[in-house]
This record gives sequence, C-alpha cells and structure tokens, in this order.
Amino acid sequence: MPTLPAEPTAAVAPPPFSRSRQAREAEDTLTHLVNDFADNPKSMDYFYDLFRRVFCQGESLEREGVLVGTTCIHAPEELIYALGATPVRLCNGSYHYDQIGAEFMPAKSCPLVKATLGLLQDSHAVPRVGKLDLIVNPTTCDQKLKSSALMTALGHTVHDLEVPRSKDTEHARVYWQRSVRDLTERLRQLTGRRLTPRNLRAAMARTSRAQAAFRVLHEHRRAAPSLVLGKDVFLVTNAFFFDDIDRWTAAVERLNAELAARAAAGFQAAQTRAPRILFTGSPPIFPNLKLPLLIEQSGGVVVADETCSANRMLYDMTAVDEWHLPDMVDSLADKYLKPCTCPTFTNNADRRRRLLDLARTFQVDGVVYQVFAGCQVYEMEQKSVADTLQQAGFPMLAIETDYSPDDLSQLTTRVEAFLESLKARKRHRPS
Amino acid sequence: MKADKPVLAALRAAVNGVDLVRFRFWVQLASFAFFVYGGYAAVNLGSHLPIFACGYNRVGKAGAGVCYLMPLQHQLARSWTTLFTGASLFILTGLAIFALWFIALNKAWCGFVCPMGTIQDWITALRRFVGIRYSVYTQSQFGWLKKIKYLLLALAVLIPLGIGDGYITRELRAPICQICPGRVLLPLFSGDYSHLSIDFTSPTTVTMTALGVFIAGLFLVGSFVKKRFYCFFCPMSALQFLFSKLALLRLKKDGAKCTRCGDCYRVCDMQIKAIADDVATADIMADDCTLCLKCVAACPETGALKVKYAGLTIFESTETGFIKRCQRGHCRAHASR
Amino acid sequence: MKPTLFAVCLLAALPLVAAAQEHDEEYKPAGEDSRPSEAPLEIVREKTPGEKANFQLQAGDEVVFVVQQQGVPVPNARVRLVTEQGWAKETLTDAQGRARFQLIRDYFPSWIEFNKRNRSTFVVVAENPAPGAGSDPARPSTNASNQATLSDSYSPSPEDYSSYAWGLAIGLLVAAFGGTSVYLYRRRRVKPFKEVAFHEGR
Repeated sequence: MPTLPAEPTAAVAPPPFSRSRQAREAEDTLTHLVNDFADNPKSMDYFYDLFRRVFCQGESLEREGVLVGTTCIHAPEELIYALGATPVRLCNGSYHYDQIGAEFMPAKSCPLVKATLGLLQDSHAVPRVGKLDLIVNPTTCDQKLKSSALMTALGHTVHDLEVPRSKDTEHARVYWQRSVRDLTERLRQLTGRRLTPRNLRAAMARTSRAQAAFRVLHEHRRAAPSLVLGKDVFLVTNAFFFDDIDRWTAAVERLNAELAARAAAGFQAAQTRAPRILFTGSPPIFPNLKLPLLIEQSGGVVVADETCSANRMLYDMTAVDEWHLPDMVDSLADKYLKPCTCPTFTNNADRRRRLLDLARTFQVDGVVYQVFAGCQVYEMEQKSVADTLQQAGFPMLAIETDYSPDDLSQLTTRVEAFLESLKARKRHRPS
Repeated sequence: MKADKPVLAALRAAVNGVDLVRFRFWVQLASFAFFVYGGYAAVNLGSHLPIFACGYNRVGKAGAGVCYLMPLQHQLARSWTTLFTGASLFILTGLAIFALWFIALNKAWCGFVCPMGTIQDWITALRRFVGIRYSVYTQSQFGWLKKIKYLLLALAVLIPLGIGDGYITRELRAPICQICPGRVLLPLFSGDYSHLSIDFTSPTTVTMTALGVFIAGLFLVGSFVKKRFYCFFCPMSALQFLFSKLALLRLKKDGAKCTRCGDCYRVCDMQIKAIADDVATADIMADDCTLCLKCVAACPETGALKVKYAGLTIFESTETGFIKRCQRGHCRAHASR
Repeated sequence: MKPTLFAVCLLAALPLVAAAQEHDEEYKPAGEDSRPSEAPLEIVREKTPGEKANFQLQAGDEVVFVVQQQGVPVPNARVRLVTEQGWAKETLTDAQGRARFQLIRDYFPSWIEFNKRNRSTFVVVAENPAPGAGSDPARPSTNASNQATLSDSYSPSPEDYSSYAWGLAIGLLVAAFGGTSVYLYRRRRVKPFKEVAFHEGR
C-alpha cells in the first residue's frame, strides 16, 4: 500500500546561514572589497577566503580550551595566551547585530557597543567562536562600561578590567598595574593554570611576532605611490580579532613578502595622484568598512590609520628589562596603557602628536575623522584634533555616521568633494 | 663615494641592531680590569678621572688613575688666604683637566666605565640569576632622594674649606672618601683589606670609618635590591652634571616620534620617567642618567632617541633594531630562562 | 655562557691579587763597594725585609741592632735599650753581633688624647771593652770601654686603634639587617589588602 509522505514536522529546518540577511550584508561588503579593485595582492586571498567562510558561510572557528572574549584593545592578550586560553575580540561591525542590540541601549548610542550586545545575545553568533567562558570588559568609555551589566544579564560571565581615566599620574599607572594583576588572578581561577615566566614569555613571543609583522606592513604602507590599499589592511587587522594568531602572522608575513616584491618591481596599487588619507576615529570593523571602502572607491588611498581596529591595536611593542614575572606583567601593563591614544583618557596630547607624526611620515594629503553617532568621546576630541591638524596644514573631513547603509549617498558626495579638494590642493601646491 | 653608501647603511644597521647588553658587559669588564689593575701595567692616567677609580687602590700600585674627588678635597683643604690666591690656579687647572676628561664621554663614564657602576651591575646580574625581583622608588621618593647627591657634593667642597681655615678638625679630611663605599670595596680587589677596619683613634675617626663600612654594607644590600642604587647618591654624578652642557656625547630625543609607550622608562636603571614622558625637551639626559643607553636599545620608534657624538649620530633607536633585540630576547619560542 | 666566562675572569684575577701582596721590592743589602766604617763602636739597626723609605717602628715590633767595631760585628757586647718612659732591657749581642729587642707598648693616654702618630723615643746603648789604656794618655786607665748610642722613635701599633673585626662586623651587620628589612617589607606588602604578588617556583 503506498504511503503518504510524512507530515511535515512543525519545525521547518531553518535556511542556511549564508542566506540570512546578516550573511548577505557581509557578502556585499566582501564583494565590493574584492571586485571593485583590480590587482589585489595574491596573499590577500587568504583573508578574503577567511572572511567569506566565517561571515558569509558561518563556518565554525571553535577551538579547544578556554575562550575569553575581550571588548577592547586594553585587555592584555598575552596573559590569556600564556594560560592556555584563546582571546577573541568581540567588537562587532554588523548592522544586523546593531539593530538587535538597539533594544538594550538608548536611542542614540554607539553602534559598536550595540552590535557587540547584539552578538552576545545570539547563542549561535557569527563569527562562530563558540561559547565564551569569560568576557573581559575594560572600563574605558561609558557605554562599554555600562554594557557590562547588560552582558551579565544576557547570561555571560564578565570581568570588569578597571582602566584609569588618566594615564599621566603615577597612581593611575599603579592602579592599572594592579588591575592587570587582578586579571591574572581571575584568569588563573578560570583556567586553573598559573602564570610562569616560561609560558608568559612564549605568549609574548607570539604576539611580538604578530606586532613585528604588522610593523613591516605599516612600513610598506609608507610607499608613494602606494603598494597596498587601506581596505586590505583593515581586513587584515580585522582578521586579527578572531583568527588563530600564528596562522594570521604567517599570512601577514606572506603579504609583506609580496609587497616587498611589489616594491622591487615598481608596482603601484593606486594612482600616483591619488590623495593619501589618514583615517582616524571610531574603528571600522568588518562588515562596516563603509567609509574606508568609499574613500578608496572614490580614488583616494588610506595609507595610514589611527583606529583601535588596526594601528592602535598592533603597533606598540613591549620592552622588558628582566624576565621575571613581576617585571614582565608590569611591562605589559605599561605598554597597554601609556602609549594608548584612545579618547577615553583625560587629555589627548599623545593622540594629536601621533596623528601629526603619522601625517608627516606618511606624507598624507588629508585626514578623515570618523565618529560613530552617539560616541561622546570621539566627538569631543574632534575640535582639538581638527585644530592641530589644520594648523599643520592637513585638511580634515569629519564624518558622523553609524552602521546603517542609508547615508551612503550623502557620504559619497562629501567624500568625493573632499578628495577633489585635496587633488586640487596638490595641483596648486609646489611639490 | 656612491659605493660607500650601502656600506655605510649596512654599518649603521649593524650598530643600531647591536646587542647592547652584551656590548656593555664587555666594555664594563675591560674598563674594570683596566682601572682596578691597570697600575700593574704601569698605566697611570692621572688623578682627575671622572669615575670611582679609587685612590686608595694604590697598594702595590694597582690602580690606573685616581678619582677626581680625592685630590679635589685635599686641594680645597687649605687656608683661605692660600686657596683664594695662588692655590686657586691649581684647583682651576685640576677642574679643567677633569672637565676635559669628562666631556669626552659625558655621563657614559658612569654607565660603561666606572668600576663601582660595574660592581653594581654584576650584583644586579646575580640578583637576576637568583630570580629575586627588583625594588623601585615611587615618584615622590625619587623626587627627594635625588637631591642627596647635591648635598654630598656640597659637603665635599664645604668640609675641606672648613678644614683649611681650622673650623673643622683635620681628621675630617677628604670626608667623601671616608664615607665612600669605593674606598672600602675597591682595594679588596687587589688584596688590601685594611680599609675595612675601624680606626678608634678619636671619636671622629671612629664615626667616619664606621660610617664608611656602614655605607659599604648598605651599598651591597641596596644594589642587590635596586638597580644602580648607589649612582643615585653619587656626588661625582652631581659634579659631572655641572659640566654636561659641554659634553661631546649627547642623548637626544625627538618628541614628535615618541609614542610615550614607556619602554625606555621600564628598562631605565635609574627610573628616570622624563625619558618617556617629556616630549618637549631635546636634550633629554637627566642629572641621574648614567648613559647606559638601555633606553635607546629599548625604543621601538625609529629616530626617537639618538646618541650623538660631536653632532654625529652614532647610535639611534630603530624599529628593526628593536625587533632584532626583541627576537633575541623574547621572540624565541623557547625561553632559555 | 656569560656566567662561565665571568667566573673565569674572576679566577684570573686571583693571581693578580696574590701578586699585589709581593709586589713591593725586596730588601737589598748594601753593595760590596761601600766603604768600610772607621768608627770604634757603632750601632746599626738592621732593616726589615721589604722596608720602604717611610718606615716607622711600631710598638710590638721586633727590632734588631748590630753592634760593629770598624765595620766588623762584635759578639758579646752589652746592649741596653731604654725607652722614654724609663723601661730598660739589657742583653748581649750574639756571635753575629746582633741584639734583638721587642718594643713594648707603653703609650696609655686617655682615648681623647690618643694620637696614632705619637712618637716615643728610645735610646740604645752599646758597650764594649776597648783595647789600650783609654783616650787620655796623661791619665791612663786600667779598664777602657767604648760606648755607643743610637736613638730612634716608635709609634703605637695599629692594633691599638684599628679594628678589622669591628669593621667586618659592622659591614656584615648592615648587610644582614638591610637585607632582612627589605625582605620583611616585601612580605608585609602582601598582607594588608592581599595584593597579587608573584612567587616564582612556589
């Protein structure tokens, strides 16, 4: 007797992730990143492929061992690596999560924090790093600080890493060193392992190698005409958030080798007259690479940046005098605090000096200052940064935006106008 | 000349990437052997040296020269009528010779040559080997402790002057020498233990010799727990700093390149915070600085710190140099200690 | 590698230290071409080995005097040493004409008045029978003898005012006390508010 096909079960299998809105957003960005530009470096294929697999196809990145999420560059990753755990930067750039996170936060607030919260409420969050055993949340800006309680409410275990609001005073420095030491204690309880000079030294070796590789890449960006486009560099540094550190370092070293070959062959990735841009402000995080992409699609080149999703994250290196734990941990603490140009500190003299140094060294034509709508600290620093740069002869374009794609046309007009004015300036200026 | 350029560049790269720790170790060892035992090779560089090559290390004519503070104190211990007339010439010439010695190397005499500095670095190496961590001063302690060396220098001048005109007993002759740990410790290296004894002739001699041994004991403990403990209080350092503006060897900082990362401050033996935080001054050598150049070696920003000799840059901080040293230091996957 | 090399250098330094002890010049007696003395009786202090130009006798030192007659040592001559304070000792010279004395410690002022450079004088008197009937032919004597004197000075011995033991004790005490204080301070630091401290190997 023929049987009827079985009743469809009440629960229909969900469509695969790659067809979700979130994945499409990522795919859209990635397509622009790859296809809108000719002659992408071959070594970048690793990164394009990585993002495709992780963000568009939802591939699992789960690793063995303890997983510690971090929400800021202030969290010392070396300590996490030393104790056998893996750090994952949770700062998110997805508009999808931004909209979800908006339910938890006030109307006009930082899209980055909203997106992070959106990510954290999703039990199958993409990138699929797995279940977080701990989230280290440095108390930097107000919104990040208050989101700590929200994260706990979502069911996560959060450790508040206390960051001082000033980095100039001695007691601030000592306070931060103690915060870091408290973190080691917390991590010890979490992982059951103790910090030793040997394991910390091995961890520092891994991050130093990554930092050294980034420095070489940073140096390559200095070339005029440019060897590599900013959109690629942002993708590379964004990969650092979640990729395996040794694999990432090897990929960057391959990229550096290719760029060196490019330099020797006289290859240029952008036009000679393309305006060189220094990008600063709120961090562009994949898939929200809207503004850097826009700049480069309009003919500019982002040759340098001062953001915590790129330069600020990987630039500073640690020096240790004596390889004993107290000195090593305190050196790490100092390196995470002292040179940091994050706007959450009391004065921004260091940030202005860094911007000037970058602008001069990289022979930049103009500066683009991105501010996320709702970010109080970046907005407040805008004027002083603009004044400093303009006095030194670098025009600055300040753009307030968020993760939504709605303002794209408006931004295009402004960016194109800015780049035109830079080109005109270059023409009229004696070379 | 064009062919020279890659050679010069290669030389520059080699110098900027040098393993400073090893270089300093050998220079210090050689200088120590030279100044403590050089007399046996009939070397005598005179008595105006800007380092603690102790004058008491003359038993068997061991030393290669004498620390300038000793003759200075003896020369100043004259009656004021002699001192401020004819003898002043003697003193000024002595000072001039001292200045000439000093400006050749600036404070690098302290960081690379001084035997007492070398002993402290060896004691530090011992502490590191044993695995005991070092002590630091807080900034406020640093602030008032650094004034002590000026006080000692003032005493080195005022007490002999007082002796000269009879206000102070002759037994306090060369007071800094009497309390200096160099007097007690350096002759030990040529087998002379006599300076460890307490002289009971009079209350003054008892106090001074006891103070000398006391300070030598403090020196040993202090330099065990704090890097270059004694250099902080050194009157020679104070005297040298008065002439440092004339020196040929200079430490310069380019504030624009500095990220205030504090790497230089972390490695500084003397705990000088200004090296990291001061981005306005170009002549960054502080009065405590021993020009050991560890800061230049630890700076990851190219061109931020430079060592110049008579205007020519001989050693500067470079990113590649930092990474090379860092790779020797800790980028090895297997740590040796 | 560095510690080994360092240890080797330190070991190499030891012979240098040993050399320091013996670096001074050896005593060389007067050469053969010096003129023989013509004095009927004289006392010569025999120099100690390794004696330098600024040699100063000290209390407790053994001092040797040679009594000579026309440059020839005289055996069995009576020699007497008298110090400033009045202490005296008499002895006879041996076959080589030598008389040995040990200088006594007789300087006992109060501590304030003690002067380590204090010089007490002493005089050495030697007497020997002389041939002939005396120096004055007009008044001949039955017994004639020659007498010679030599004066010198001595200072207090360093053992009276200098103590190596005290010095070493103070130095070691300070080092021990200082080391213990630092250690206790570091331990105490951990207690008040439970600061995270790293104890390697424990």
